[in-house]
Amino acid sequence: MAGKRKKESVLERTAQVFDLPGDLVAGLPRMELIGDRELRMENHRGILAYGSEEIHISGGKLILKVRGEGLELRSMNAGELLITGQIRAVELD
Amino acid sequence: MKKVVNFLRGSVEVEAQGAFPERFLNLCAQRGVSFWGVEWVESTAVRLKVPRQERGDLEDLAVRSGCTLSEVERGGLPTFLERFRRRYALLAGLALSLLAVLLMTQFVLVVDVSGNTEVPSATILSTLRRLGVRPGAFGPALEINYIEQRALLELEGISWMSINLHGARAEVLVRERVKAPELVDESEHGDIIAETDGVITRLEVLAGETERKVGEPVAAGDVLIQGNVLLEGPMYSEQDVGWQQVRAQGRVEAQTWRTLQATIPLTAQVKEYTGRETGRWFLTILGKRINFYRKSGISFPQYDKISSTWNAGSGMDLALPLSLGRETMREYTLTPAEVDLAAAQEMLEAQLERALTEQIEGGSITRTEYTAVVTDEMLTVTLRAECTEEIGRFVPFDEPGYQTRLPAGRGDETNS
Repeated sequence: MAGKRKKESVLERTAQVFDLPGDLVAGLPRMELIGDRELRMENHRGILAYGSEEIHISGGKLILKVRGEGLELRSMNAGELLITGQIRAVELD
Repeated sequence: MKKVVNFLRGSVEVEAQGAFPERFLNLCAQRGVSFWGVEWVESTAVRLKVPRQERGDLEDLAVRSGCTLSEVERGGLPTFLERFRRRYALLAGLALSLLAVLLMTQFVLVVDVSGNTEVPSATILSTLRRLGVRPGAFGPALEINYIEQRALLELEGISWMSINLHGARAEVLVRERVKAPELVDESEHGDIIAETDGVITRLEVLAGETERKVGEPVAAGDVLIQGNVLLEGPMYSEQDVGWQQVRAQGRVEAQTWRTLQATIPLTAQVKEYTGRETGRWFLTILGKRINFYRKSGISFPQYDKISSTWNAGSGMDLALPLSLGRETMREYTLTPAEVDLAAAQEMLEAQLERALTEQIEGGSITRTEYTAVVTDEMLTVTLRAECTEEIGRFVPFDEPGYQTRLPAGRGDETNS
């Protein structure tokens, strides 16, 4: 487990040094906010908490907290997810 | 679009209950189970919808995530159709209906003929009926090519025929034969004689010789154009070459006078209905008549039979081979009645004019005069008409009883 984290850290640093996209090289989460109604996320690690006003998503080393009204998990698979609703805030923890 | 797809493939709404229901969601996502409509019921329970065919995979995932799974609702088309799975009568009816539709479209119900103007459709239809193309015939069993050839042989006025089967409708396309011009037999020699008395008004000789002139009166039987032509000798010769026989041809129109007469009794037997009537119903399916009555005689000594038929599909401009009919027998007695003199005279005049038109065959009526006389309870109407008509009739030399004569002043000779 520790070896895997170390490998990720190395890849992350390599991406930084060589100015390569981190989501492709190190598998870092990538988020795309379209207006305030749609949020797409790639390379997520799963849902941690779910509600119509707040959804917590694991991004590996960080946790993404999406706050708003009428939030809904529209689609989800192993690598991607889509959240719709009135998004008020996105917080990284 | 997605809603339609989800409806068509069917969906199941499940509720996962456990300490960490989000783990169940994450496992679903990892295993590629597509889901939607996620609803967090409480902190320990989540509801979601999955496709019907992926429902079976969820049990294992629920166990692995430490949740208990319960089914909330099923929806979509497969669930709707599943209700009918045990309704055997309905399924049997549906299957029979489909079978009936498939089978019925194989039978000819309507035969449409098009492309004919001279040959009546009824003649073509009756020939085709005899050859097997009729309402009720089984389409695949018809030998179309053979029937087309046979029908062409039997129908003289038709030069081409095509029978196309469109389900229950047989479309018959025909092309009519172009009439060949009338051929004159030049080898048959003879004269043109007058068919009736008259005064010549027009004379056109195409073959033969004539000494008649316009304005000359002729009697029936007089030779108008002769088939014996004199071949004159060369100039200053005292002898002619001889006679040549040809087929006399030409048009001879003359003013003629015709008298026609017609008679009618002034008393006639008139039907008087007694008010007694009886009716009987029948049904005709695919040309077969089914009577809804027993075979028994009609007790009326004199009666009129009036048939009324109601054809299925007549309002839709479609003649289906199903009709309901009723025959009504109305009793009547015959009573003598006076004929209206003016109406009777008018009727006879019209009849005489029709008869005259038929007699003169394309000629014209110049003047008519009617006289009506009543004698011995009989009305007699006489028509005297002045007409212009073709009076020439070809008579071959070898017609029995006919003797031609050479033109006057050129010696008499008889041909046999």
